[in-house]
Amino acid sequence: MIVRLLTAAVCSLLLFTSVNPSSAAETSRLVLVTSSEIATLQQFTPAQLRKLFLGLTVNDHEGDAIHPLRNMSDERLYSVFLQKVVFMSARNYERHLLSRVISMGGRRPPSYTSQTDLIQALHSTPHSVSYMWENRARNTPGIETLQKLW
Amino acid sequence: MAITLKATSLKLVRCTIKNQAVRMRTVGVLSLLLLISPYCQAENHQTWLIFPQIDLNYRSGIDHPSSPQKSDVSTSLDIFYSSGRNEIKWLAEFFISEDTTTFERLQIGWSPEENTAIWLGRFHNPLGFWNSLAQHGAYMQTAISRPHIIEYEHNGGALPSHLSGVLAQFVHSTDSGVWSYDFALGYGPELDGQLEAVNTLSPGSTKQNLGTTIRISYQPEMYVSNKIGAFASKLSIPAKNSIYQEIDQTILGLTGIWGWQTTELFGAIYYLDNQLKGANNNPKNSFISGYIQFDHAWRPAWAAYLRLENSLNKGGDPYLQWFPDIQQERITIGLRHELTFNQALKFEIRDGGHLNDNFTEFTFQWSAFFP
Repeated sequence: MIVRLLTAAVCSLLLFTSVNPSSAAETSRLVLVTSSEIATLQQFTPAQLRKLFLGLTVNDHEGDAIHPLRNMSDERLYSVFLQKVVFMSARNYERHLLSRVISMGGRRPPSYTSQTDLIQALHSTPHSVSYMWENRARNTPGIETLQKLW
Repeated sequence: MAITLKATSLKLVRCTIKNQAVRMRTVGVLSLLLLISPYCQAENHQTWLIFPQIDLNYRSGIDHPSSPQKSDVSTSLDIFYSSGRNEIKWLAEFFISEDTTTFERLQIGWSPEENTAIWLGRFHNPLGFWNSLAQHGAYMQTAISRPHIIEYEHNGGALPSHLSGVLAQFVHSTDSGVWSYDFALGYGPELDGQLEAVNTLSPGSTKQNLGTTIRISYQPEMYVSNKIGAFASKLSIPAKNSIYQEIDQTILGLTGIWGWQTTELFGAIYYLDNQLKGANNNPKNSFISGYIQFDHAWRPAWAAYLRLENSLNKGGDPYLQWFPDIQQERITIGLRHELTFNQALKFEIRDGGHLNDNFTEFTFQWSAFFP
C-alpha cells in the first residue's frame, strides 16, 4: 500500500513538473522592462545597468536621465537581480544606496513591493525602467521588454 | 507616518533645547526644510530618512566612582534630509539624543556634474572613511560603538569631526582606478572640557579658528567599497577654562576598507602632533592611535565583528589630559542580525578603553532606518 502511494506521489510530481516546461523556464528569465507608451528602446551594457541601479546617472540616447525602479514584489526575483545585476548582497546594496544618499544627497531608486504599483509607476514616470519575470512582462499590457538580464 | 515623525521631531526639539534663541533657529530651519519639501517633491529629488536607535547598556566590574552607571538605556534619533534642484543640493542631518540636539550637518552644495561637488556649511571633516560611510546613523555601521579615536566631539572625541566652511569633492576616473579628492577649509572646534564644534544655529557661541583638511583616496573599481586613502589636517583649537590658550594640531593618517566576498577589513591610523600654547610654557608632543575592524557575514542576515584599538606614546601627550580614554587599549567583539531589510539587532562586548577603571561593557542595540 505504502509503495503504491509513494509511486503515485512520484508519478504525480513528475507529471506536474512536465506539464508546461517552457512556462517554468520563462518564469526564471529576468528581463528589463519599461512602459511601452514611454518606451526608451535601448540596450544597456551590464556596467550601465549596475551603475543605474546603484543610484548613479545613466542617460538614454537623447540625453534624458533613466529612472530605475526596484521590483521587490518577489523575493526570488529580487535575489536574482542582486546576484546578476548589482553583484551585491541585499544588505550591502541597501547600505551602499543609503551611504551614497546620506553623503552626497540625491535619492535611492524607489522600491515597490506590489507589482501593480510598480507597473503604475512605470506608466507614470517617463524614462523609467525596472525588471520582472519574462512571462509576467509578456502578459502585462503596456509593458515592453528591453533586454534579458538573466 | 512621515508627517507624524516630523511633528514628533519638532516637539522633541522644543523640549530638549533649553536656549530660547537656538531653539527658535532650530525650529526655523526645520520648518524651512518642511516648507521647501513640496517644491522639491515636484522635482523628484527629495529624501527624508530617519535613523532611530535604542541601546541597552550593562557594565560589569565597575569600581571607580567616576565610571558610568552599572546599567542604562539610551535612545537617539538621526533625521536626514536632502533635496536638490538642477545643480543645487541641500543636505541636513539633525541629531537628537539625551545629551545633544543639534544639526550635525547643514550643507548647501553646487554639483555641476556627478563627480564634482562644492559644499558650504557644517560638514564632516574628511579624516578617514568612517564618517563618510556611516554619518550619524547607527544602522549604517556594522558595530554599535565607534573607535575611541573617531568619537564625535560631544562624545569626548579628540579629533575635530566637524568643520564649518567649504568642502570641495572631486572624483577622477582613470583606466587603473578611481581617485577621489576632498579639500576642506573651515572653522573647527573650541576646547572647553571637551571639543565643542561650531553650532550652526549659534555660530558666535564658541571661539573658532580656521583649519584645513585634505584627503586623497583610491578605489581600484568605481562601484566597489574597496578603497584606501591618506589625509592630512592642520588646525588651531582655542582653549577655554585652561592654562593654555590654544592648541596647534597637525593630523596625518592612513585609512582603508577592503572586502573579500563576505569579509571586510576596515582600519585607520592617526598621527597627532599637538603644541599647547600657554602664558608660561608651550609643551609639544605627539601620539599615534589606530583601530582595525574585521567584519564577517556568514549568512545573509548575520555578521560578526572584531575590533582592536590601541595607541602608541601613551601618556606622552599633554593634549590627551582632556581625552584620557584614548590612551587605552580596547577590544570589541559583536554580532549583528538583520531583523528585516531596514532593522538590525546588534550585541557587543567591549573590554578596556577606560583610564580610571577596567570594566567590561555589554550593549544590546536596535537600530533601523525609515522609510
